[in-house]
Amino acid sequence: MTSQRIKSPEAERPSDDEIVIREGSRNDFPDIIALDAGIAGISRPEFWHEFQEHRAATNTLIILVARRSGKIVGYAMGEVRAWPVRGPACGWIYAIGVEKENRQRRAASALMTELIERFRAQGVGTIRTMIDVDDHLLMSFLRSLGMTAGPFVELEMSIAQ
Amino acid sequence: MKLQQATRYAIWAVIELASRPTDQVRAQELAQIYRISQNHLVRVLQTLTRANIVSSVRGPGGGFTFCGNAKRLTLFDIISLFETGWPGEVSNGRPPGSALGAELSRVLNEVDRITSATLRSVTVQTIINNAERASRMRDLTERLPKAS
Ligand SMILES: CC(C)(COP(=O)(O)OP(=O)(O)OC[C@H]1O[C@@H](n2cnc3c(N)ncnc32)[C@H](O)[C@@H]1OP(=O)(O)O)[C@@H](O)C(=O)NCCC(=O)NCCS
Repeated sequence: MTSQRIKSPEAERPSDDEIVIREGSRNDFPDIIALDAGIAGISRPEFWHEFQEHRAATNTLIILVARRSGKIVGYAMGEVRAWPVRGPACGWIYAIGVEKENRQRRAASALMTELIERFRAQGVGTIRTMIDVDDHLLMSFLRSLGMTAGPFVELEMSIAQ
Repeated sequence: MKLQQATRYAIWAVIELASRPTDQVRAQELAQIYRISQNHLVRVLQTLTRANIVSSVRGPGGGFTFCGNAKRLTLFDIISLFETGWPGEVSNGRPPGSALGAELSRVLNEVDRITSATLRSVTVQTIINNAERASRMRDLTERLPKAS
């Protein structure tokens, strides 16, 4: 398992201030779910449990956590998928979030660096995501990494009767 | 997307100045780089100075310097200094009760929403970084041996 540290990489043990990136374990899920509820503004345990089961079944899903002083302060989740079917497989970013109090310490950047490394190791050359068009903060962050609009657009329609 | 001349000049000037933050650049030089009217550009630079995005030093050796926060200043911030009632102006003219008008308005709102999200999330630093990344890639490709 790889892990990534930012700040004082030469230190043996992470300092209190250091952000450490690791694979999220089964035991981390309650903390991830609570953190996500605070960030996304909705509690969605079933979303995370579904992905937890998917990871156990397929081994393709990557769930990373960012810790600071031992506490989980951020998460990122992604997977290599050949979807949409047109074009080669790419690394999909399903979710990324950092606790408000721990933002602008480059935790999200470190999570993305690690996620991209994992995607590269699986041989993909492109990353992709789908986000709320009004989430300008998240869009700013992703664009700051160099992400731009891709060739797809999401369309939807209510089919309620 | 149609932007006024002043808005376009402002975007070019800000990006040029922010890409060389330690330089004092004279309006004449900026006008030459972009082949635009110096008189119009000076008026645009005055607006940017009042908005604390650029600062100016008078006299010989003087010029304009970027003094904003490139990581936070978005294209939307620059555009909204020069364009009034934008975006969203077109979509408000729906005749009351008209289904066709409402649908047209919905489509125009869709365009505005995407445009607005793009401009609000692209910072000056993002443009500079992407441009540098693109030219590094170009250099790299040019240095690769060509397949015969
Ligand atoms: C977007 C988000 C992930 C960024 O996390 P972060 O750890 O603060 O980001 P970083 O410190 O790594 O920032 C990296 C870059 O992103 C950009 N950025 C970060 N915060 C920003 C802000 N408030 N405004 C503009 N740009 C910003 C900057 O370019 C920054 O570079 P810098 O550090 O050189 O200034 C975080 O704000 C967040 O969790 N937002 C909510 C996202 C969400 O709702 N997720 C759940 C659904 S997926």
